[in-house]
Amino acid sequence: MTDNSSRTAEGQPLGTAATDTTDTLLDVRGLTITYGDAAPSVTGVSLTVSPGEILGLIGESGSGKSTIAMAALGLLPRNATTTAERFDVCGVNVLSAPLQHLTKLRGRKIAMVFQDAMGALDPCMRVGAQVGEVVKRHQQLSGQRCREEVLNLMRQVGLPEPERRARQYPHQLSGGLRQRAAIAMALAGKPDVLLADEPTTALDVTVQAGILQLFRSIRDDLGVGIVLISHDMGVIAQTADRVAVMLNGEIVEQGSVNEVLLSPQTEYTRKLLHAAPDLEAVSIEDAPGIGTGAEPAEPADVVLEAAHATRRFRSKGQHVTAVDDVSLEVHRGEVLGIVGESGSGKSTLAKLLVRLDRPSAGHLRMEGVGYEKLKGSLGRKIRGKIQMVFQHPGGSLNPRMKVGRSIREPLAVEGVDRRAAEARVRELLQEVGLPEDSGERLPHEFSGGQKQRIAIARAVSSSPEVVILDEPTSALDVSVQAQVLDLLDRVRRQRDLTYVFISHNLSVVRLISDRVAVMYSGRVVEVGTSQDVFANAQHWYTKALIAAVPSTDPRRRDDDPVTEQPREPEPSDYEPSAEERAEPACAFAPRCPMAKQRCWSEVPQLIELRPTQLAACHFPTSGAEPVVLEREKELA
Amino acid sequence: MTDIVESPATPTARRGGRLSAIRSRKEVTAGVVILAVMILLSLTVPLWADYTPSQVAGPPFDPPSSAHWFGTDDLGRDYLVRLLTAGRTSLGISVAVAVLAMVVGAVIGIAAGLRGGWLDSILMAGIDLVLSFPSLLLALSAVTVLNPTKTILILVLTLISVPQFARVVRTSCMELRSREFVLSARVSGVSSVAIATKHLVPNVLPLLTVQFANTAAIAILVESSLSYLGLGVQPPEPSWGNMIFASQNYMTECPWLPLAPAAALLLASVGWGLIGEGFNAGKRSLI
Repeated sequence: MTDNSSRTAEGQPLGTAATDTTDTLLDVRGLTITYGDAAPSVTGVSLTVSPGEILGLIGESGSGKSTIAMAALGLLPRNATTTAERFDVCGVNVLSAPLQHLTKLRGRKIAMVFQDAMGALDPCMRVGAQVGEVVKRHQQLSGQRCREEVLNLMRQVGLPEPERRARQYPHQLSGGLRQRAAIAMALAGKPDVLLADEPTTALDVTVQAGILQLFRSIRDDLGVGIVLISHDMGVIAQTADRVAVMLNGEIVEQGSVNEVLLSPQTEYTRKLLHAAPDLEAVSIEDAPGIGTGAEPAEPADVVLEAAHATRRFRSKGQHVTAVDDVSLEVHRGEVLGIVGESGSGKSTLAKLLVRLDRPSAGHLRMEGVGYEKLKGSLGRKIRGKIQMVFQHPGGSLNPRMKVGRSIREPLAVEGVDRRAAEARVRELLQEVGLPEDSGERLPHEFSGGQKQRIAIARAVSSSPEVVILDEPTSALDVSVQAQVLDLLDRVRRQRDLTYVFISHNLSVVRLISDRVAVMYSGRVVEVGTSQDVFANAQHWYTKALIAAVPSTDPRRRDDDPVTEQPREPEPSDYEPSAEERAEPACAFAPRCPMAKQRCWSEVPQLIELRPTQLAACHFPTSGAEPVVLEREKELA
Repeated sequence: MTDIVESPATPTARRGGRLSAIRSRKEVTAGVVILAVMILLSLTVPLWADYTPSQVAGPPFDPPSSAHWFGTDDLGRDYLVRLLTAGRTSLGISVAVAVLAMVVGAVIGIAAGLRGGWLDSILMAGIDLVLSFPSLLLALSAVTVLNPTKTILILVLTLISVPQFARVVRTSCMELRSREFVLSARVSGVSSVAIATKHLVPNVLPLLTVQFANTAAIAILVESSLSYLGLGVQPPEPSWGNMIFASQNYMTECPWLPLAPAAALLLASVGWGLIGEGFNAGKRSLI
């Protein structure tokens, strides 16, 4: 089906080859959308979706992807003007159809899945009732038959124990299950077209893999045509049959996924692909200028150290251990990447390291000096040596303060006089690639990438030794992300800095890190050189995490992803007791394919499997198992 | 790595809210004009008036005439001069109360919001204690127990206005406290006092201006109520409240006597109200 679709370059009008228009679900030609008096947001867009195919719509923020989806639903704001040679959804012209027609179309013929499932579900209504409402309206079922249909739908989207889940409220579901419930709701009207706007962007990577597979099975089993909007090349490569690349409201390239991603015709697509780091394609040697790769031969000089650092929070009478007995060493001049899913304790650890929070137990040392309890001028001195860059480029700058003053702030703490500080600010601005006079402007005058550059300038202004980077590029578009990563690397070399780079994005971490620590449920489960960890993961969680990252190569589709669900116990397995299940010794045991009795009862410690790699697993993925056991016997 | 270049930094136009910005500007302007005229006249009254406020200037109950624009009161004093002198007292008290309450309330709110923990608990317990009494009742009993001097009046009115300021500022600071720019200042070792003055104050300023105007409007009304009840500004010193009280017995014969101070009161509180409302509506576009 994908082979006969024609492709265009540089936004030329598309001579569509999908000739069988009666079969086309979404047929858009020459679509132009303008908000108010502004320049058009979408210009001359032509695309088609046939039954049983996934069209991937890719582009950076502001390229008009979502606008097209909203237009197809007839949900654009009032000040938008839409013109098109043709704009048919399931044979109905959206532009001229009366409102009742459109209302009927929505839900029954065309449905949408949003990024934020929590926002799409009513928080005060049981999940089953919400799906049932749509079933009642669009399928005219009631009572027992409606209930059966709801459970059917929930089973179809992979919600485990549908009877129980149907009685729960959205907040009782995890992010992935919530998105599945939202998809069940979208499917409840038996639509022909499903629009999915960044459906996995807010989800963890292992959860994302499951949702992407769900989309593929919806396409195959139900023959629904899907428009998948995403900024993530990997998501598109793993899911879409055909791809349309958008830039500034125009489709610059369109074709089958293999054609577009493997042999892109336009400069822009090539740039996008190049800017998107791929976990498999990029190894450290392949990326000149990023990551030293070369380990220092002399014994590592430890700059920053966490020793058994633990942070507990009390919430609703329960103790939550966000960071659980973490011991880590950061060597001088290296980039230590910390990866993990949301809630794994990465950010709490970062806060401990920069003293925004204090550990409940354990120690933190900077060049051998314990600093977790230092106060006054000594504490301030340590602070000057450790700086931090935050995730949200907008949030890390005071909106009412000129950026020059923001950058100067750490210098003022050190007592640098104003004139010298201003000169430094100009140098710093130049160093991060901004005009020297930027210091006189307010943050809202800058784009996200530029704000992040300012935040970096601010972090290095007091000449720190260590910079903690907490998801510094997660809020940025891929091309901007690549530039910021470049900048970070250049600044590190020039200033001989040490980075702790925290991210949920494995590809980025692999690209920039010398060593990597993997966190799961507050614990470090694996540490090692970037090469070892990514090429030869020892912990089963690391392995699952790496396997779940969508490759930007469409030929490598992962059709059996690790799901976020506890796996069904196999008959040969050890059946853990209720207490063990409530508090497994190894937090990953419920999801681990190798879990044995020992995993439920004995906390695995970080063990050196080879000089450059440690893992906290009783039964590591490689055959190192007996070695470990022997080592432990020696210790005992 | 790539040569995709970000667009250069250009000042972006502030989006949206253009209409409400204009409307709010009109409201603020109207409020400022009303109050400016009242304050100006009140302050300059000794310079151009032929009489002092306590001087018997003509026959009692003289209706408005060219000699006495607002007539005279029961003792034959010039009513316009008294009215404007009273404005000086009433407006002066309201501004003093608003300023004091703003400073005290902002300090409490910022301290509680930024520091949190036990300090927050103690300060907010105090605030709740004050709030648990009806404010007029609290003011009444305080003034009754203490001497009803102007200083006491200002302090009592400040006491009942502080909680609102503290509450508003605390809520906003608790949110700002976890914002990344405050965190990054703390990472850089900036002291709490500097964070409060450089980061928090500028960001709560729009809230403070709104609350300032509202407090002034309430203060002027409560002060007048107290003076009307004889517990505020004491005769012979005029205030709008005690002027209404003194003239209410002559309402049928000389309606201008109670009406003039009532109108002045209304005008002043509307003036403050317009300023507050205007800032409130324009708050979003000010940021």
